[in-house]
Amino acid sequence: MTTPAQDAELLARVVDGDHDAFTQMMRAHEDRVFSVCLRIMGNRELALDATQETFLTTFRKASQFKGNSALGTWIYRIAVNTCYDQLRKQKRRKTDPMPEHLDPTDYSAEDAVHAAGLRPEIQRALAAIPEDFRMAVILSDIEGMGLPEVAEILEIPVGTVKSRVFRGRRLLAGELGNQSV
Amino acid sequence: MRDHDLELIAALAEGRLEDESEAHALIASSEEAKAEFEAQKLALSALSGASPVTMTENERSALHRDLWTELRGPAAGSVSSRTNPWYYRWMPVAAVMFVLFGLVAVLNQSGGDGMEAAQDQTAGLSASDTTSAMAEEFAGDDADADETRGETGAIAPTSTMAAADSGDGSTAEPPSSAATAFYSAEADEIRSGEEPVYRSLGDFSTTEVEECLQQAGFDDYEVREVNATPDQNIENGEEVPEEAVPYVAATPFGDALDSAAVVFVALETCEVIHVDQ
Repeated sequence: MTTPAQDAELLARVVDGDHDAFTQMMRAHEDRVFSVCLRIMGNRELALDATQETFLTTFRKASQFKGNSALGTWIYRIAVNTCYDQLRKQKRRKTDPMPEHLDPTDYSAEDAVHAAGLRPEIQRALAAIPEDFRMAVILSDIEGMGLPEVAEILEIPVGTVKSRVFRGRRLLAGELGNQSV
Repeated sequence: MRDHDLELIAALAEGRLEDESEAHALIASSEEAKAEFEAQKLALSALSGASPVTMTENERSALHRDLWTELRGPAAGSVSSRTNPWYYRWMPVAAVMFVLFGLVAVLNQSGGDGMEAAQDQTAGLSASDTTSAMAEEFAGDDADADETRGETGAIAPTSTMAAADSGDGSTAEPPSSAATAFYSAEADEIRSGEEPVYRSLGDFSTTEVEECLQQAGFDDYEVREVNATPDQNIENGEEVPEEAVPYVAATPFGDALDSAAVVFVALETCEVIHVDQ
């Protein structure tokens, strides 16, 4: 855990072009960013792409960090926005079939789901609920972030986060119930 | 169900209540509350099995290698050169060609004695002057459209009203086809959804967003999307036009979403930047 002063100092070095500082920043956050992206995207390759894009954006926007939130929160916000964009692009393409790894009969694909840390039916149920609810549930209930931090990352009020988490869980339970019928 | 009740039930499901009596009483008193509790428990139980994930060493190596390749590449540190669509490079050439064609057309029309006068006029008119004149003409058209809305209470029936007057009479730049395509795609996406999307409020509060919408003359509109960081989309590899600015998108209250008009208002200036019918 770093202090705001340490974050600011690290960012200042990144802005000055200090590659070691950037590597240090990456090392501190890359696993969490990858984890968030993997839960959202449900696919390791896409998650890795989103992680890379997140850090590219972080590097290029380092000078714009105002210090209003923790550095990690700012990076996770960029990660979530990056994943939003990638999901939107996927939706626009329309031609993408349902990810293969969600097919439980495909054993190699099932491995990929396990690698995502969730059972296939849960991943499938999660994928079926609306994006906004999914994001809130992932950050709160899977990544274990506090509601205020989720609110900062999603840039919505805490009350809205609560509502999305509770409703998201209800929708998820509905999906899981449908699957078991 | 009231928010307080839902919160109480969720807290019970999460096991973070010291005194559970009120929550248990609530569940015992209502089938709806009981069903809600069971749903919350089921979801939490399913999600609690999620194991932590980390990158493999191969993935980590690939991430660092690809990232540094990208950062050290020719576009390193230059966002615009990497993210602009290819046709942006040809825009200056297209502008010069446009002026030249215009010049030829003027000369052909004038002929004889008028030719010298036309040459004098066009010689003093730079490319930027020409585009400014076009912008004024375009904005003038949209000002007319805005007046129409004021009189009839309806939006002018145009799908590309990207440079409407704001309240103080200032005008936005005329839209590029890329901008029109971008906003139209956003509008289609909004029409296909059900929940409002607050993508990113950035430095704008929800109150500011709503006030901006009112200032633009859309009091009876419902916020459908707020995007305070369209520039991040550029960073993320989407072909978002350079002139995309932080915006709020809204639809008329009560209109069926799948066929509603979608207005886009710039958050920084509260100007209408696009209306998609």
